[in-house]
Amino acid sequence: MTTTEKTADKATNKATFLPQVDVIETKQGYRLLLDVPGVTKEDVKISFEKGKLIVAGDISRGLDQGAKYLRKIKLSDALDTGSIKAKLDEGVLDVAIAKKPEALAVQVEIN
Amino acid sequence: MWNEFDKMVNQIFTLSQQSCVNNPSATPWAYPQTAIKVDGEEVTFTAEIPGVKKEDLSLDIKSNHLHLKGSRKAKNQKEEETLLHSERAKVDFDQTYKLPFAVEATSAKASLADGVLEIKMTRAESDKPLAVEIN
Repeated sequence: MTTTEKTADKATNKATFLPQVDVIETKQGYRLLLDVPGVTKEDVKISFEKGKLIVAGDISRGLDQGAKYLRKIKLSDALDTGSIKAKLDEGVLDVAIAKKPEALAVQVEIN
Repeated sequence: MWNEFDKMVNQIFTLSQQSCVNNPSATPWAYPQTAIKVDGEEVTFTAEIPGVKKEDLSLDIKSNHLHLKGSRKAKNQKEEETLLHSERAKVDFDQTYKLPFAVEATSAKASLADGVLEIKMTRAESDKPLAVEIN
């Protein structure tokens, strides 16, 4: 977030909420589940900057209309950041990130 | 004196964090978050229920009581998946909310979108105050 954005937020007096998150490890990678009620697909922005995944959203309905969600999550180097996929379903944002091939568990066969 | 105060705040903060860690299903605030707004003869009930599907939700209204029940299933978590970090509420809810006046249950319009449930209801005829003329 740049300084100008911060001042703009102060001027309009809009609150920023930290969405709650669950982190799930799968075989291929990780899934982040974020609670973002009141946000539409068009109003969610997911970006990756300086090793951090940044999830931002503008709340357009419900209890906190006009407020924002913002959560920054540091990701490990072992993740393939080019593989980030996300979907939004019933106010829950599901972000999937794959592990880099070298970080995947390898089963070693014993002869 | 301020140091004392800071210490106290720190203690409270640490405690509340600890209780969340020990009990992953505990949330630091009420779940779901709700609001009741009155606009003239109309009342709007709003609840934030991200991840709750329409079919997992039941709602009934009687007079000035609104009963909301729902569950959020651990979202399609498969066997080979491990939950590493948990903040989201995983509790079922079953609560009755008191509305400021009796409503016409048949007038209720409910919508669920983006994890936000909104119910609009109008005041029951029988509940409306009757103006008495003074001669």
